[in-house]
Amino acid sequence: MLKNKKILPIVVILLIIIISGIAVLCIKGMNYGLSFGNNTTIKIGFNEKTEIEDIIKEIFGKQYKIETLNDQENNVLITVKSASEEQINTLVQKVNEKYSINKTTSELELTNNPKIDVKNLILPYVTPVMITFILIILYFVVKYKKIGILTVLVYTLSISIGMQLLYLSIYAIMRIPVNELTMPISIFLFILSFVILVEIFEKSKIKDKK
Amino acid sequence: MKTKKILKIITIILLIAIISIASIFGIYKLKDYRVKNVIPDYKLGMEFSKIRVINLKIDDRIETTQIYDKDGNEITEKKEGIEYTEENGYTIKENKTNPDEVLTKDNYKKVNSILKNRLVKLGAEQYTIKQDWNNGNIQIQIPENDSSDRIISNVIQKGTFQLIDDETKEVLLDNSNIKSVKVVYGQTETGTTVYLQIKFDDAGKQKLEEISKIYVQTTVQTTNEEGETEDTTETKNVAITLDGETLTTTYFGDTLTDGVLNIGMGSAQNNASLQEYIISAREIATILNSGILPIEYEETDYTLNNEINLLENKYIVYSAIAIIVLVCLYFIIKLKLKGLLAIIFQVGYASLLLLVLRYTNVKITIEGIVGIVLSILFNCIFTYKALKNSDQNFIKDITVKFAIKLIPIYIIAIIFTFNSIANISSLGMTLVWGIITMYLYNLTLTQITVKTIEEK
Repeated sequence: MLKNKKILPIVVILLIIIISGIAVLCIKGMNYGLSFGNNTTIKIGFNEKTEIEDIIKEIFGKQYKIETLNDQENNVLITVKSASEEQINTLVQKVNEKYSINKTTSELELTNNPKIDVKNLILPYVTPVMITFILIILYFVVKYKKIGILTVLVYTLSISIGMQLLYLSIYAIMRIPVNELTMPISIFLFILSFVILVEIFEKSKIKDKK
Repeated sequence: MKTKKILKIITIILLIAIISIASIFGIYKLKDYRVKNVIPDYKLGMEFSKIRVINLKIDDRIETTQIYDKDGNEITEKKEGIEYTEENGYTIKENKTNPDEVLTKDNYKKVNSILKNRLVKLGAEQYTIKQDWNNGNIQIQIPENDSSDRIISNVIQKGTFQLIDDETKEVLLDNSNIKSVKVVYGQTETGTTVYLQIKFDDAGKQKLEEISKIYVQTTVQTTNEEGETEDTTETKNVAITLDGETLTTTYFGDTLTDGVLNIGMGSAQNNASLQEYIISAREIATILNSGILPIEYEETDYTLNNEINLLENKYIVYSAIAIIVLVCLYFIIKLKLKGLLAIIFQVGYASLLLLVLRYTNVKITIEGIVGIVLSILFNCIFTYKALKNSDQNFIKDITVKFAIKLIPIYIIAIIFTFNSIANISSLGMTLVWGIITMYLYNLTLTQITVKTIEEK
């Protein structure tokens, strides 16, 4: 199974991507999305329903999020990467102009929020993933022992861990922002890797029988 | 015979259409003079519903300021006309809520770990913690529900336990001697009593034994003014406090030699009151088991209408459309006319699964959506194999073989289901229900269809 020469170029390409990804990760780190990275939230209270998206877009660019606060629907929470004093002044000025009000910068509640710790992001998944990983490896070793325990182990470890490394590398190289979807996609690939492994082992078993 | 076959297949397609319509649009009935959808709503995770944002800022208040003169004597009364500044030779000592030596990275890490522990034990199914390692400030996000307020008030408690002399306020025992804390119940005359059971370490055990010998109720014979002897009861009490707040004041009836202190939290005869006592006791147990927060925080919180709409993300929408189109094309190319049936079966399965998830109250998080996608993927593979090999035995050659291949997925589904974090359990539960639904759906509708196709 391991002697298949057709897969060698693919393995080499994948290894290059993984090594480049790790290098990018070491030099530049991950690119955090708006909610997961360092950000600034600006809380503004209004007496009436407002539409300030155009103003926010003009001042802070593309990366922003406007949410309503539950306690008072007219209060809004704007999340941006960072906000300078000048940007805050412009925001107050433009809002005052648009709604003919006299808001001051001191009425705005500014909070600088830290980025999410990668450890905090990954940690909840570690125990269930490790338990399932060990159990599945044991199952594979018992079920496909005829293929060879070493072959089963090498394939299982390289495909499941390789897929995760490849995913991480693509994230790092393409500067995809780390956000709410990052871990779910990683888990999807983790599960998918076992579906692929079963197919490989089953095919190999049939070949061996023949 | 051919008409019978067509009729059977049309009936199955109609059934699938009904399931799909019910799942997508709902079933409406007149209830209390209003037309209501009788199908339960989805139970959504915090990514798709309201969240509570808790900002914890390190408390930088100065509690007291002490001024000392050149000789080191404390100035207790300020005189008019004198400037008590360091330039004038005075030493000013500010006592902060959080002294500078407490604000270290190690303590920030300790706080992070205590908060995580408390959040899980207090029943926060989902949470995110962001911590600024430069200034120690923290932001926590939890789902907005009935228990949010309780979680917040308990998670930021300092957790200082003290057993003190009720008169002198001398600290007799504190957190440093606690081994573990749990909640136990006992039947008493007044009903079921909930106790907070504190187990102390060896040093604490010895201290507790001594305390339980001293803090007792004694009867002393005294002589009154008329020269008569009478019995007087004298009680030496201990107060049990949490963060300075007295939980109870009591004395010991027996000497405690086992290092276990049971504190009565309340007695009740009805279930609602009992539950309330149990919750309070569990909260205290969680706080004490997780340790003392080394830093005090100022807390502010607000509720946010945090509703991620995955459909707003054009990359997700385009990718989903592309995958669906590719799967449909694959079915049609490989299975020809049967491919159309396969597509209809996928729509029916996805609709049925969504109905099942609504009725089983599974919390749908982003990981839960991954579980749904994987279940649909497995169903696609099953349907393809069933229709491709329609001449084979449906149970023996297709279902059993497929079921064996999915054993790793069963392991993942079961392990993930029992995780306390909603994100992970949601994936497990959607997979469990996805697999069960897949077998039931295929053993009925797909099997009948395959057998009908093969009928001669």
